[in-house]
Amino acid sequence: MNKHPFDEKIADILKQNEDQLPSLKDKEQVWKTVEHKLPNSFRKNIFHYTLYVIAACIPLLIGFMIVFRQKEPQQKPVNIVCSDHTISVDTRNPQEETKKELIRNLPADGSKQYDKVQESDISSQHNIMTNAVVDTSINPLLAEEHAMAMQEDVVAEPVEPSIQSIPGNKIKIRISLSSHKKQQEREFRVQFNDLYLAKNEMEQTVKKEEKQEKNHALFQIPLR
Amino acid sequence: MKLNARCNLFSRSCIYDNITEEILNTLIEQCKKGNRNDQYRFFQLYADHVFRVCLRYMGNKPEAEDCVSRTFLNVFNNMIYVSFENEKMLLAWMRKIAVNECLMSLRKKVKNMDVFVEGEPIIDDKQDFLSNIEASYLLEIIQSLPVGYRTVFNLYAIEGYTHEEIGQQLGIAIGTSKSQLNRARSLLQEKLKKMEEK
Repeated sequence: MNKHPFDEKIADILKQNEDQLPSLKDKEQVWKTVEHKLPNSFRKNIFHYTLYVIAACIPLLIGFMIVFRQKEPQQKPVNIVCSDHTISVDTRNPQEETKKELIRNLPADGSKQYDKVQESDISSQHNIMTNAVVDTSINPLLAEEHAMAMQEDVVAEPVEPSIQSIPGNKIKIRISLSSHKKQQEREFRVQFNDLYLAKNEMEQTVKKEEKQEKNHALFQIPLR
Repeated sequence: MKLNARCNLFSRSCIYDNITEEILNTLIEQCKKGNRNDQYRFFQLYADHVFRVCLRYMGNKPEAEDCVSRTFLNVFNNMIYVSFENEKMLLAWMRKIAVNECLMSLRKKVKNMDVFVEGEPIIDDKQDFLSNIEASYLLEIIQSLPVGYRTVFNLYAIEGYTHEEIGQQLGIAIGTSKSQLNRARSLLQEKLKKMEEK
């Protein structure tokens, strides 16, 4: 691009004598304006740190919520009214507590026999329904042994009946927490696992006994 | 190597003579990181240069100062996206930002930059009246031109823009840019001659 000589001359004068041109006198004031509008690195960092903290807290909060949700049903014990006395059941672990209570309240001499154990006092908040049925033909002399055995005889509804190994001492307990479906599922899963383990143990014991009997029989064969 | 010698378009005052390329690169890196002290040093170094560019366009000091502050704000905010091979590039980049800021201010201030003057402009090819003129005085005369003339003259004669680019920047036709430039030249010569006669 060919510049006009007049333009060139003016541009040269301005470029070569830049020092003669006025300078910015109030630099500090202008700098303050610039500085005020510049993004503050401290504020920027604080903003980022806050974001990191929030991001880290979200999984923690979720964890806490899960934990407290599981512990949520901390209600008053449910009272199961039997024919002549009351059994309290802690709903946090209804199966264990019910078992213990039932065992504790078994009549030592067998004079009192349970016809029926039925739920009452349904917690309105959690709508817990408990049904318990106790068979009547308990041998009074074996009351303590039965009480111990009953720990394995507490059977939840969905489990196959073969686990009920001792006839006549069968207790069925069904507990449902209808207001907390998840809780209900969890509780039943625990029950099922416990029972499944109990069943396995029982089967193994039976097998061992059978084996021992066989061995014993072998040793008793007379040598010829 | 002294950077002072490498700046073709504008010479600078002696305050920058001691700065080597290495120091300048370090300064730029620190500015990119947001180091406030180094940003202040950078501002001290180049504030006058930017101010003189703004002064040619804006016509008065307060408006030029406003443009300087906005220019440096843009420089610091956008520095991180640009790499500079040498100081010449840095100066050219900053000058472009300064010019853009000035044009934006002028657009807000003056809606129509076209100034109509009756009659054809007469341009004298003799440049005798420019021989003894001082730069500060020349700047004053440029500042006294109407906004449209001044802007087109600055962009074409000093910054080296083409008429097409000026037309795009200012939103005017190429012919308008050309006529504004001729009238600016004519008016400048007239004023310079009058001053010489006095």
